Amino acid sequence: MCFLRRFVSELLFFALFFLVLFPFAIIRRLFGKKYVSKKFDKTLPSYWVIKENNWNSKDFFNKQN
Amino acid sequence: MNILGISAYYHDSAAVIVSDGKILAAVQEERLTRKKHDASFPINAIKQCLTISKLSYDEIDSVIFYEKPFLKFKRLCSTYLGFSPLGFKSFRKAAPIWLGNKLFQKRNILKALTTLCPKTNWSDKLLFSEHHLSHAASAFFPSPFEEAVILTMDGVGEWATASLAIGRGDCIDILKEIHFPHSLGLLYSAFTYYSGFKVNSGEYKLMGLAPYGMPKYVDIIRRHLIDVKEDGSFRLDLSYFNYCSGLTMINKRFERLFGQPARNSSEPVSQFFMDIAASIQAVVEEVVLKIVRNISEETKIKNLCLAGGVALNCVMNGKIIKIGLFENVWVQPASGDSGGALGAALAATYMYHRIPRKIDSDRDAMQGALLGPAFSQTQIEQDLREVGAYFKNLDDDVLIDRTASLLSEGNVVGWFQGRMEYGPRALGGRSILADPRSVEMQKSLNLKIKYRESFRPFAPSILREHVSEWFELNCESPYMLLVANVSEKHRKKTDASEAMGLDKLREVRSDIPAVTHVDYSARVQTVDKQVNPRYHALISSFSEISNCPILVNTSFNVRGEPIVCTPQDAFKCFMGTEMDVLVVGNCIMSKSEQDSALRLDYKNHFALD
Repeated sequence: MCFLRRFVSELLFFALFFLVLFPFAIIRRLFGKKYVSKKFDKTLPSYWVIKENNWNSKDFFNKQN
Repeated sequence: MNILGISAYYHDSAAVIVSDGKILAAVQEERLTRKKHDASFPINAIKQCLTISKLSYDEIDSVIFYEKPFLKFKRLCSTYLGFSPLGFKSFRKAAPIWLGNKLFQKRNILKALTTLCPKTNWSDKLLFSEHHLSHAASAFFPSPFEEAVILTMDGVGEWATASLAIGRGDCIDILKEIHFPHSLGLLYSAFTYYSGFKVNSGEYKLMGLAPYGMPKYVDIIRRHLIDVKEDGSFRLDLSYFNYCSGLTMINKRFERLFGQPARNSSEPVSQFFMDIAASIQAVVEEVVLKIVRNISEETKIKNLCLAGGVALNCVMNGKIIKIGLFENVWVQPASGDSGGALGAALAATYMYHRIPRKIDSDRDAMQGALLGPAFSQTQIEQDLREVGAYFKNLDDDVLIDRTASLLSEGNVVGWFQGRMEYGPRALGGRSILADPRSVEMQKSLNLKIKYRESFRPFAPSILREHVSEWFELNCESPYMLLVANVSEKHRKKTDASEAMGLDKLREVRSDIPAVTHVDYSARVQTVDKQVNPRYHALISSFSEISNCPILVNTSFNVRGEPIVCTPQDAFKCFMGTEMDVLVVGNCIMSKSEQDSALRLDYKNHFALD
């Protein structure tokens, strides 16, 4: 029973990763979506990302995102 | 306005109570559960904080969690989407944890709080901060500054791995960030892993190892692993790392770059890994100094606050002080994730509830980081009796003089006084103390008492008023977060140029060899009479006997064990090691007088870190 549960769970996560997540990622990447930068970019003057602060609204602290 | 701050679910969970901006209590969960870096919801720490602050659950106005779970999940998803088809192993491990539990952190937090007090409506009180805002708040709000530049750096929070902010009064503005997967903390952790130490706990070992090596690999690191811009911002070449898509920090390409496989933790540390440690330390310092120079020029602000795990790199902090661009540098003592609980609570106080911030320009608000539980003399005696300890009670003055005298005779003393420290350092509340003049003390403490690697240095506690006589340092370092060299007049000439690697340990380098690292550096703690009067009195008494206003101060634990919390923890640690004397409150006991049946095999008691 334990083995069966483990097998099904492995299968589910395998399917989720390779049949859902991976094809979705490939399509998005083909259309130019950049999820994470993986390499140096010598053309950029700086790697800092400007932060937009939004904690003046009380909502900021109420949300989980 | 009473705020409960919480950090949990990654490592070093903690709880903090802040009342109208005053920090009433701060406790790490690991100290109570006795599990090092315990990440579980800090239920014990919350209870302890409420006991200390004498508040009931109903009196808590807000509870704030130190980061935003959905943003973190989004980052995780983006990483898998960005790296797939790589990353299945990591996905297989992380997905069940997130889908089954971590994604529902709000529910979990509310559930845990409800078990503590079912009648309170916690849902209306629960708030969420951002990870790096929590770090920035923990660095700025307790500092004695009205205005400061804030630099936070760690492994990763939600997206940010480093942030640059300005703090003014009761507000913080984060100006810019470096985003995952580019992280100075993770770069350092990758080298920690490569050198055979545990990630998230062995980083300070790598820092301690660096002075034994030469920075031979700096160019390779600069050329292949990290690109640093003029303003100090940086990116990593992810093709050498595995932390985004695998279960390790580095990959084979990384190993090929340096020509050696990762060190197995059971192998001795070779000269190669000492050089590796020196190299990564040099690179990290170079990057941070570039950032610091740039922000100093950009903002012209004279105060700097630091937090985040990277800020625990006290060698780096010492270099920031040394370049002198900032008049004042303040580092949060609980710079790791445990400090996130404090930062979140302070952010809620000032930025959500808009309580006006009161600043004492002479003193920070951390109260010496002595924010944990304390035990009354009656409690101590009762606890010690319960465990079968044989002790004597001495009056304050006699106790101090007797302890100082025992220290000067070469005894190693467990020192348990007052409130427990918050953060990774023992600062005279839960410390093991010894005579720094002893040539054999470092080796003896490492091998017989701490059961840890022989290369690791010990830190000095020095009376604040004597610091510049003994060290090249002219400012306070109350939290042991600055490294400075022993002053020239206390150094001894050695044949250091001929010694290599661990052989350097044999050289006697100064009048205080037990706390002088192989490059003459020391991680200094200055002790202030007002902040820690009892510890100050002990060092003063030792100074009268020895003409040396310094003691060796190491945390009261063995390798892999959280710092002791209760008198019983202290007695167990005392009976499980070669410590000679234990002082708890006004009770003093020597090992030779204890029942030998109470001896413990402590060496294998805790999983090594």
